[in-house]
Amino acid sequence: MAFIIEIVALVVALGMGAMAATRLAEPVATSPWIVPLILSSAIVLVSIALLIVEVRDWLKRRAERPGADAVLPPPRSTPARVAGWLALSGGYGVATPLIGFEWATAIFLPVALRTFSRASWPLTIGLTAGMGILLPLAFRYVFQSLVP
Amino acid sequence: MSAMTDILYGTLAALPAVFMPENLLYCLFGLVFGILWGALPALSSTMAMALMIGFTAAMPTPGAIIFLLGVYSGSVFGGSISAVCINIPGTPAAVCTAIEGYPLFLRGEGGQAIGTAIMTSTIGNLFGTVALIVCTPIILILALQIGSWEICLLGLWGVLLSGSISDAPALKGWLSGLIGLALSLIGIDTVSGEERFTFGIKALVGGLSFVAVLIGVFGFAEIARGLLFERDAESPPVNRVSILWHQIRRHFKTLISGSSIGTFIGAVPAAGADIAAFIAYSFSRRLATPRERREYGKGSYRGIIAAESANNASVGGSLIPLLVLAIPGSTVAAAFMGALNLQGIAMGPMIRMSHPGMMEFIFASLLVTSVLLGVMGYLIAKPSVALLSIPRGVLLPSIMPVCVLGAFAAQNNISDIYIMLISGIGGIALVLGGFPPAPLVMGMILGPLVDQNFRRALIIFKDQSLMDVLLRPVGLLMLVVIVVTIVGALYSGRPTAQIVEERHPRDGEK
Repeated sequence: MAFIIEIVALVVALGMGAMAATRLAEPVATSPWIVPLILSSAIVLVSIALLIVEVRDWLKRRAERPGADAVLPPPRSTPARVAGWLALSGGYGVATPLIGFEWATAIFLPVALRTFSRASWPLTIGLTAGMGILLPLAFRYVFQSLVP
Repeated sequence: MSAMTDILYGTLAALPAVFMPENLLYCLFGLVFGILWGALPALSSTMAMALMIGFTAAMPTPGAIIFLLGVYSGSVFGGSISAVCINIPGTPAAVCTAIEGYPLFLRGEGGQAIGTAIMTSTIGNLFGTVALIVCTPIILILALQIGSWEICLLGLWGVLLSGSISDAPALKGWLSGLIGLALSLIGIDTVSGEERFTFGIKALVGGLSFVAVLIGVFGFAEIARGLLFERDAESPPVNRVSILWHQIRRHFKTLISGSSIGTFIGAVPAAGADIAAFIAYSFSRRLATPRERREYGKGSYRGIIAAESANNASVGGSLIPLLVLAIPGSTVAAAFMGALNLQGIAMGPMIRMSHPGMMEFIFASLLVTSVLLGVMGYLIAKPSVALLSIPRGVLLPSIMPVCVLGAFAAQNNISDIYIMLISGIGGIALVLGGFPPAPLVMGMILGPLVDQNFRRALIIFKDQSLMDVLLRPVGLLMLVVIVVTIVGALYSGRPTAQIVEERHPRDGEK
């Protein structure tokens, strides 16, 4: 994952730098693109340094223990749980503006509670009612705030 | 001297406003919420503050300030409860408390360990607040003397330091901080009015909402981490919470040195309560007699006193650079700054002119909060132990709706929910890649300060040579400090937390 983040940071910084360089106009001092240009250069430098460190460490590990680079597969359930949580919580965030906070919570929370903790049905219903009804009521009438 | 007297009298004059029933109620709610939140192992102080910003957006300004100060102080202390009872620090600032508190709990002295933590946290909080009141006028005078160039360097140092002292290699911390700086550039540039990196997306024109990113990184991502990668702990019974006054008297010097270290470290940009506790704990161990040192790792009250006084003293310390220079002393202080910005309060050297009485109200609020921390801590410490048995699978998904509402409520903007989600997924990726998320938040909050002051400095110094600029005394000092920070972090090569863990293994002395 670190390797991917570093590559993405490098590519984005190169794009950011190119965009800033093409838009940088005289006088440079007042141009809003001077800081992005400097910043993108710094990100490129740090990303390259990190990539060098990653490759060096990888080569060192490989030299010390042949076959060490063959990454052990993570526990079987973890990737599915990670993907499931991301899909569920992401879907909740996307659905909230579309169907309203109360309905989105009424769908999200029971699924999440039953999937990730096997919470009992009374607890699931109680928590869903609390978060889906009482929380927006508190927001609307106590904090005088809007609810999506 | 007159500025200090003014601020002192102003603070005393603000006390009646703090004692108004509704403000006291906000303070108590904040403290109770903070202590309970801090006691829960998977929930950090920054997460508490991030989520509460949305709630405070519609509150009256005094209520919002005192509520958030209560949450801040309460959550820093609350971490010690789970640290003592289940050996899992509720917040990173309670790691040293876990090292000493859990062996005491196993000896049947859990209540005494928590009681000692309550009292020393209260004294630490008060110490930090008094230091805040005394130091702010002095730093305020100095702040008015320094120019844009120096402020830009100070902001940059804050981001670099945040990356250097995180529990990851410095290079990773710096990359995280630089990404935060880059994110802060998105939107309309306030100096020229030109759009940067918006790509025609209307939601980005106003810039990325700091609150939404904060909730994404410290709410959404932390929920995922706690739910998917950490295990539940059993909640044990605790005996009566009692304060061991004789231990506090015996280690009074440790209490004062811990509070002083906590205040100082808190005032250093980006160095929060966790670093303060680590250093104070390490310092107290070094100065201990051989007999006292043998107790470290096996249940030392001296260690708890040092760590707890320091982490709570850092609350006041972290507000010194925040109020005076708009540079937060920690990520929690950065969240507090975000909340104040939503209330229309801009921090910085001009705060006393732009918001007369506000600084004094913050001081008075923190004084009252510090005293009430002791009372509320004593009252709810034991009941809060029951919360430790809530399974993460129940607790964490239930916080998700608060994240969504919190992100939306800050600006009543639907796109902030999407920004929160994207930041959260980014935050999970950062954590999985071993990148600390705190520098990203520091970069984001300090970005506008660095950007605007750098360009202002370029305009001011356009007719001067580079050497003239570089040789300005304060600027030169800042440059030296930045170089030392970079070289020091690269030379040491190991994260601070790792060094402390190596020096103070949990199973006692090697």
